[in-house]
Amino acid sequence: MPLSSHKNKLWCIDTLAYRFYQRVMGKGRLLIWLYAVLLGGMSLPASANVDRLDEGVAMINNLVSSVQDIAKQQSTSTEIHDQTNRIIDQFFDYESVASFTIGPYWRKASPEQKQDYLKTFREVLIVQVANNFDYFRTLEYHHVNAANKGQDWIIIDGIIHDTTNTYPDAVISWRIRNIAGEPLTIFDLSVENVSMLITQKDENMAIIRQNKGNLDALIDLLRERSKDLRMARNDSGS
Amino acid sequence: MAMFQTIRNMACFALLASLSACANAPDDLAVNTNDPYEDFNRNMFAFNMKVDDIVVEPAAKGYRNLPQVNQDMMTNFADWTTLPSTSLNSALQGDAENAALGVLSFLVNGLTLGMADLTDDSDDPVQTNFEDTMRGYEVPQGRYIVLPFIGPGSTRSHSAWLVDSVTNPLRFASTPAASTITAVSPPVRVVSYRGNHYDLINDVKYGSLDPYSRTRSIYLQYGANIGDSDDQSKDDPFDAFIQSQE
Repeated sequence: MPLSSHKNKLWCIDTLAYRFYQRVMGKGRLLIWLYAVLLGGMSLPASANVDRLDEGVAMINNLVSSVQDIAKQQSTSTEIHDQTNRIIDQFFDYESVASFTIGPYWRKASPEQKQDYLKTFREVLIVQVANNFDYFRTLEYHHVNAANKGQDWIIIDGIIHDTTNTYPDAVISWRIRNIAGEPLTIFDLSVENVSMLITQKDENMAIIRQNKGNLDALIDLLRERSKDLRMARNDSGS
Repeated sequence: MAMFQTIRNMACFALLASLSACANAPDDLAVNTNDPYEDFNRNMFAFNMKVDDIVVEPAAKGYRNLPQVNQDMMTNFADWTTLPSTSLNSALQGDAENAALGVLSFLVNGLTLGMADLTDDSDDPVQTNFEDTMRGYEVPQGRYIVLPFIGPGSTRSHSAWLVDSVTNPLRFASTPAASTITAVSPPVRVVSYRGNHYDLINDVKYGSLDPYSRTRSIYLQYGANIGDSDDQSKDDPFDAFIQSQE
């Protein structure tokens, strides 16, 4: 088709549409409407990303203030246990996090082993966090930056400052799982670029390997660890 | 005595060089791709933990009980003794400004044997060593190795440590003061480092199910994040996890 006739055809369609909208909406309103659709269409994914980043930042701020609220209260150990449990359910995709920490052994595990591991690992996590609440009391968190990492992740960077100046400032990064249409969940925390989850995974995998692939050996060790940590907490009188 | 130390260092260097050569062993023979000498390393780690129990941790505890001024003096002294190496390596890395700052800080702070930091913070040189120089020349990190008394590292970091020890300009000064400083600085450095990272190290030592693998993981992640090429080629483990779920 010659270019001129193609242009004419487009011109005809444009003219017909223009006349139609001129009648219905008036010239000025049509142009504004077209601009709005064009700009809206172009900026929709970007604004969705920005919204997601803002949502992530708000979630981390919310988590930090929840932890600080608990740390400020003189709660009993049972109360801290329950509150920490709630925080895990509210902010983390616990099952994914736990399955990540044993790598390929998760798939090989029986349903009973999976349940056992989920329960025991959560116990250790909660007691460890609960035992460190005294330390959280003197910490301040300052947000620094938020950015997308690929399609699946949002990385939020911040600085932890110890108000007693016992420890130097530390750069931390939250890794948040970003699945379209689903709530954001925290997946990992890195301190000075050392990932807590990868460290945990390496340790767990080493233990399973040392026990010739036996996941139950890790679960037993975690059970003992949980018991020791509870005893340490009771001995410290909190 | 100095000759004996040099020969011993050369022998260690030769041993490390041979280990570097062995580092290309097939991965399927290795328990962990980064750690083909895991059994040896675990034994060395256990030995180092005993040394820590008996000597280093009690000394670090004592260090932490000192007044802050004294702790700062020890840390400053430990940092000061590394300045000649910093200058030398900065020169090798082509950073003349840092090399000059190293010399300047060494001379100025030398008036107090390095115990007081008399220079402005902005004039403090960035500490560097032969491993940074090797990294700059893209020497691969090599395999993970734990050595007795020295601790965790890679074939490259341990080799670099030896080179730094042998080439430290302080060793070539034949005055009694320089010999004393050279002899005193390693234990001071160990105790001040252990004391300054007391809680962190104790957390790994007493708070983990397997302190060896936790230490290794932290060391290798840290190495990967400062640009060690061995780990750069690996896929992001988090992306791999998402893909395995889909």
